Amino acid sequence: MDAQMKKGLLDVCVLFTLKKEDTYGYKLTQEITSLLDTSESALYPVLRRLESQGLLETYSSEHSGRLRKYYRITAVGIKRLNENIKELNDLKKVLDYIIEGEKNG
Amino acid sequence: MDERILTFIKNLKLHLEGIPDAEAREAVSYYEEYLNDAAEAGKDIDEILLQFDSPEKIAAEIKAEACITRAQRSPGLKNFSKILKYAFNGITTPLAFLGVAIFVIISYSLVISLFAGAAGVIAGAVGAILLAIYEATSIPSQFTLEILGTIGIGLLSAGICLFASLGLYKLGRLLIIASAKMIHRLQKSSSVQAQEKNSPSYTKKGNSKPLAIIYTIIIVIGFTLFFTSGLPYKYFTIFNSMKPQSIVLRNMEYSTEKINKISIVTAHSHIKLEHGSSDKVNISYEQPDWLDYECSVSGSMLSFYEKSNGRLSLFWLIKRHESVTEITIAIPEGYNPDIITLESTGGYILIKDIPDNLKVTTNTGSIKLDNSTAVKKSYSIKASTGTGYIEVNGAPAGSKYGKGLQYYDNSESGKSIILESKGGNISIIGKQ
Repeated sequence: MDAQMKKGLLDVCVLFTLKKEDTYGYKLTQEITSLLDTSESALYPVLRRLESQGLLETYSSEHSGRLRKYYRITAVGIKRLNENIKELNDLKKVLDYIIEGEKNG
Repeated sequence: MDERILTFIKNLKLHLEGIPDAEAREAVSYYEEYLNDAAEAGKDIDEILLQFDSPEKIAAEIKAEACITRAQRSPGLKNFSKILKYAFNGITTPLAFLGVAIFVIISYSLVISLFAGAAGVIAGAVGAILLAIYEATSIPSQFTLEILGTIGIGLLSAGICLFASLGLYKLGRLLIIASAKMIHRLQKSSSVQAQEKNSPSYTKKGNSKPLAIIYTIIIVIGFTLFFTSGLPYKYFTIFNSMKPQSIVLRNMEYSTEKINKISIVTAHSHIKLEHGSSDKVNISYEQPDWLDYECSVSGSMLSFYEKSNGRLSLFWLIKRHESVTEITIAIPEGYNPDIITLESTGGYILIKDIPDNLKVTTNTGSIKLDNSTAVKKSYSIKASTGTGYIEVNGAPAGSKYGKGLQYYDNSESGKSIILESKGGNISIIGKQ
């Protein structure tokens, strides 16, 4: 996939995954890299940016003797996610048209 | 902790040098945690580190992100300069490079000019206050209203300047934020642009509100002091050549026996010299409430001297404009003093039928010599102006002399009349 396209989809993937449940860096990365072929270290700047924009927040929870940082989506984040999903639906219409067209044509 | 993880972390820390400690610590702890979680999950550390981007690349992206966020949070010149470097990240085509270069140059110079302008205007405010204090301290203490009024105009001007500087400064900050957003967009994909529009503004709330309030208070105090002092009305009266309301008429008489020379010097009152019906020298002077005078005979010279009584500040500027107050000197017919000297900075001088030794000087006022009904006496005349014209009997006269004009006619010897005006016109009527 084009690098620019990947960059754009990372945000919505992160927000969507966090909407399903709170999670921590490693687990989040595993989920996303299975879908989008990105480097395992690529997620940190994205998480940092989304946090500074107020779309997600962090909290610490104890796990086997050390503190682990968890990410949670905020109300603003959910609003943003819904806007993004609407855009993706518009995109899907175009994609379906081309891909179906390819199949049949 | 694992040796390889430690090495990676060390490299990362090295490359993160330059960004705030808190940011660096955050990043390092994220990756430490990540690698620990990966090890716990049974992953091979070597494989993961191979998968990772190099510590250099990771650090570079974190730095760029941190800079841009910081510039939007606290839009200062230092932060701004840092992010301009990142504007060129990922620009590959020469055309795009040119475009970004132009953008960087323009936005940087605009921001610098705005901040420099803000500083310059503050200097103006300081200057205004200093000038006001200097003028106020020169006012005699009995004129309290005028002292307060002078301080008032200083505060008013300073307050307006300070407000302007605040405006310029905020404009500079806005420009920095806008440029940072622009640069951010240049680095991300187009889908992020839609998000940026809705992104909540997370700029640190500038601390300008208390300043704005203080400046407004200064302006209001200055305005009140100035407008209740009566100074604006006086300035308005003078600059619109209106007759002042509070005039005291002074009349003085001098016998011609002991007087050979007459010297009249005014700041900006008009001077009128003519023949009178009395057999004494008569001086009639309209004294306004901001002027003082000295009139005395010393030796064989009668001298009248008009000056400010300190009441009006910025008098050095005001006296260049005429005051619609007059001093009239009436000398008896047949009385011929050795010389009469008339001088005024802002006032006009009118001489009627006095073909005697005269020396007349003005700065901004005009001189009119009207000897049309004088019993013909011979006199030579020299008139020179700086920027004004010279007219003799209604027609332009005089030739270029230095930076101004000069008219010289000594075809008739006898008395000599010298007229000099720096900024005014000279008009001579009745010369043969």
